[in-house]
Amino acid sequence: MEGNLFIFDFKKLPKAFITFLLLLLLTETISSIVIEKLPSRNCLQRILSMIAKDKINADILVLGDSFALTAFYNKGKVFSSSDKLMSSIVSLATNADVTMAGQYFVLKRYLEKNRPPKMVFLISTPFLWDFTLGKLSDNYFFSFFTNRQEIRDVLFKTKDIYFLIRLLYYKFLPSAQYSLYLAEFRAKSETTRSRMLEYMKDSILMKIGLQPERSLQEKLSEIDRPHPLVVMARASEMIRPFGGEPFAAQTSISKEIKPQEEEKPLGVPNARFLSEIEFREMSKIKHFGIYYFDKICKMLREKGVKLYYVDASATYSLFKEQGGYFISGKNFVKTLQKKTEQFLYLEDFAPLYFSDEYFYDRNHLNSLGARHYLHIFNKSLKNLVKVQKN
Amino acid sequence: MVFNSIQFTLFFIIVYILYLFLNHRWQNRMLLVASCIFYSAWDWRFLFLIFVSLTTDYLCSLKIHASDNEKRRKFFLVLSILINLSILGVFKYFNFFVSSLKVFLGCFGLNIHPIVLQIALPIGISFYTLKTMSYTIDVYTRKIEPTRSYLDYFLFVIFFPLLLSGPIMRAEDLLPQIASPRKLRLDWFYEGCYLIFWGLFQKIFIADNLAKIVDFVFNAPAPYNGVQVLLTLYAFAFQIYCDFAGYSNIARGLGRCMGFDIIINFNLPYFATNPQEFWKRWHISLSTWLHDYLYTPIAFSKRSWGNWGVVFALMATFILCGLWHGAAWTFVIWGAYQGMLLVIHRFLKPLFELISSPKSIMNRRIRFIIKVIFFFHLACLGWLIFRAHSVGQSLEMLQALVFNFKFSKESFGVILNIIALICILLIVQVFQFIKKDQLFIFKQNWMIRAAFYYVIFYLILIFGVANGREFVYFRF
Repeated sequence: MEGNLFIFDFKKLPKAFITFLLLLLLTETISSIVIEKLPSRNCLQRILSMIAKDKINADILVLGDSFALTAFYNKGKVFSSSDKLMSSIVSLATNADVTMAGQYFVLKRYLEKNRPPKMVFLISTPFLWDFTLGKLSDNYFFSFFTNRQEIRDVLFKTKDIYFLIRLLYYKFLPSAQYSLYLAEFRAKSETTRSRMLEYMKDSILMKIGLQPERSLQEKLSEIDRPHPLVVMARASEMIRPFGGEPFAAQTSISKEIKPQEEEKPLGVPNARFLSEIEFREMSKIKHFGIYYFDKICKMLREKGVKLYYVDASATYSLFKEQGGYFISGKNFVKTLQKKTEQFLYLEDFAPLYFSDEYFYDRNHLNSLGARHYLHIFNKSLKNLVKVQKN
Repeated sequence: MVFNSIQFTLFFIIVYILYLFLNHRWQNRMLLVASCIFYSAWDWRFLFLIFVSLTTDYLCSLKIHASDNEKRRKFFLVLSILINLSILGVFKYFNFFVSSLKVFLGCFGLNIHPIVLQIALPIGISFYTLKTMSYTIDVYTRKIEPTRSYLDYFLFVIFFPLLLSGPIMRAEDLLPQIASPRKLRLDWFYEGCYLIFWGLFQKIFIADNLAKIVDFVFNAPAPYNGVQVLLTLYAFAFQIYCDFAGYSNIARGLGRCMGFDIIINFNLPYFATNPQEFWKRWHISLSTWLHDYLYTPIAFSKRSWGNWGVVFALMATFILCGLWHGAAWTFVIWGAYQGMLLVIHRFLKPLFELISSPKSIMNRRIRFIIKVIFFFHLACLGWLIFRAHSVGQSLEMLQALVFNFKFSKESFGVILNIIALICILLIVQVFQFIKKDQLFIFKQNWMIRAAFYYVIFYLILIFGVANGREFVYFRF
C-alpha cells in the first residue's frame, strides 16, 4: 500500500493568512465595543441591554410575544386609569421569533440581576409554542443568546452542532451583527416607504372626493405603530427612573400586593409533562417550546414566583380564520396546566378576540387597542388579587 | 448540502481530516462514501439512477474494449447511450415533451390528457450523464482504455466537488488522478483555499445579491420598463456568471486542497469579442464536450453539404445545448439564438477582417473595448430569453426595451447597487485579463493578499446573503 505524498514546504509561511487573522482579530475586538454603543436594532436587544445595565426589580413581570409587546408599550404614551397604582409592572415581551427558549433566557438573565417579581405573566398566542428549531432566527436568537451557559443549554437540548456553530459565529464574530442591522434597516425603510405611499395615495383620493378603503384616521393609527419596547405607563407617581425611558410603570394594582409566601408552592414537584407525541397530537406545538416552558416554570417555582399564562387576543377575522388553532392552543395550555400544575392558566383574563378597530394588523394592537387591553388587564388583575387575598 | 452552507463546511472539514490521514487506497474509498453521503443529502433515492448509469457504462465500455467485432462494439455503445439518454429523457424531459405534444395536437383540435410524472429533477443528472457518456464514447473511439477498477470509475462519476454542476471532467483527465496517489502540497492547499474563498465571494456576495434585483423584475407582471429590464439583464449576466463560476472555483479549490487538478471552467467570458470566443471562455468543459461529441460528428457526417453542413451542425449542437440547460422552450430558443450568433459570426468573419485594423495601440484598445461591450449586449439579449419564465415574458421585455425606455430615479439606485456589487470583480478580472493569469491576486505579495482577503471576508460577512441559496446550475 502506498502512503501519502506530502510535500509541505513550511519555509513558505502563510504571511498573508496570518496578517489577515491579525486584522480580523483587531476588527472584531473593535466591533464588539462599537456594537455595544450602537442603538438597539430590535426589541430583544433593547430588553437585554436594559437588563444588563439597570436594576429593574419589578413587582409584576410580563413575558410574551409581539401581542404582549404591543399591548404594553406605545411610544411612551400614558394610559390613564382611574385606579390607584403603586406596583410596578414591567414587560419583557418580545416576539414569537424569540421562541420559548428565548423567553427562558431573557427571564434567566433578568432574575440573575434583579429580585424575583411577585407575579409573572406569560401572554402569548399559540404561535409562540409553534416555533420549530429550524425557525430560530439569527436576529432574534443566535446573535443574542451567546453566553457560555446559554450555548451549553441549547447544545444540550438540541444536540445539534449546526446550532452551536451559529451561536459561536456570533460570539466570536460580532461584526456579523452589522448584517442584521442592515437587514432591520432595510425592512424598516421598506415598511415606512410603503406606508407613506399608501398615506399619500389616500390623501389624494380624499382630495378629489373619493373615499379610500379605510378611513385616514385608521391609517394614521396604523402608522402609530407601537414601538417595539414594552410597558404601560402612568403619568403620575412612582415612575421608576430608567434614564428617561418610558419603561417602568404603574398599573392599577393596589400597593398591598404582597409576596405570596404563605401560598402553596407552585405545581407538583417533579411533575412530568405529557409525552411529545401526545402534545403533537393535540396541536402543532413542538417539544422545544415545551422543554423551555418547563424550565421557566421550574425556575420560577424555585424562586417562589407564580406564573400566570394568559392567551393573547386577536382580531375577530383572524380568530374566525384560525379559530381552531387558537382553541387547540387553549386546550393544550389547559391540559398542560392540569397535568403539571406548575402555573396558572387565566383562561378568561382577557377576551380571545376584539373588534378590528383595536388592531393595526391581525394580531397586534394599535394605540387605541393597547389602551383598551390594559384597561381589561388592570381590571382582571385587580380581581385576581382580590380573589387571591380572599 | 450546498457549498455555501455550514453543513457542507462541516462535511468537508471531516472529509479533509480523514483524507490527510489515509493512504491512497483508503482515500479513494472514503471519497466514494463521502460523495454518496453528499448526494444523499439531496435525495438518496436518486443514487440508484447514478448507479444504473455508471454500471451500464462501466460494463459496456469493458465489452467494447474487449471486442474487435465492430458491430458488437457499436451495439454496446448504442446500448450505453440509449440507457443514459432514456434516464435523462424520463427524468428531465418527459413532462416537457408530453406537454409540448399536447399543445401541438391542440392546434389541430385534438385534445389529449397525457400522463404527467410527478417527480423532481434528480440533481446533477445532466452533468453526470455527459460524463459517463463521454467515457464510453472515448473507449469506443479508442481514445482511452477502460479502467478495470469499478471503484475508481464510481469515484470518477460521483466525486462530490464535480457531481452537481461540473466541471464535466473527461475520464482521460480525472481517472489517472484517481488511480494514482496524489501529492498533498502546501502551496496547492493555499491555492485551493484562495479559489474556495474567491468562489464563495462570487456566489454569496455578488450572485446572491444580484439575484434579488433579478428575481424582483422577472417575478413582476408586465408591463415592464425598458431601463429596468436592461439593468436587470446586466444584473443577471453577472449573477449567472458569478453563480456558476463561483461554483466552479469552489469545486476547483476543493479538488486542489486534495491534490486534484481540476480544469478551469470559466476564463473571463465577458471579455469575449465574438460568440466563438465566448464559448471558448464560458462553461469550457461543456462547450468542449459539445464540440467533441456533437458538433464534430454532425459536421463530419454532413460535410457533403458544404457550408450548410456547418450551419446545420452549429444549430443542432446549440439547440441541444439549450435543451440540455432545461426542459423549456425558452432554453431551446436561447440555444438557437447562440447557434445563430455563431453562424452569423462564422460567415461574416471574413467581412470583419476586411475592415483594416487600426494602426495605433490606443485605437486597437478602443476597438477591443467596443467589441467587448457590443458582444456583452448580445450575450445579455440571450440571457433575457434564458431567464424569462416564458417566451411571452421575454417578448414583453423585449418590447419594453424598444418601446418603453424611460429613466426614473429608481434606476440610478439600481445602477449604483449593481456597480457596488460587481466593481471588485471587474477590477480583479481586468488585471486577470491583462496579465493572462486567473491566479493574479494569489501571486501578489503578502500585504496585497492580506488586504484582499480582509476586504472580501467582510463583504461576505456583512453584505453576503446567508442561508445557503442554491446554485442556479443545480436546476440544469
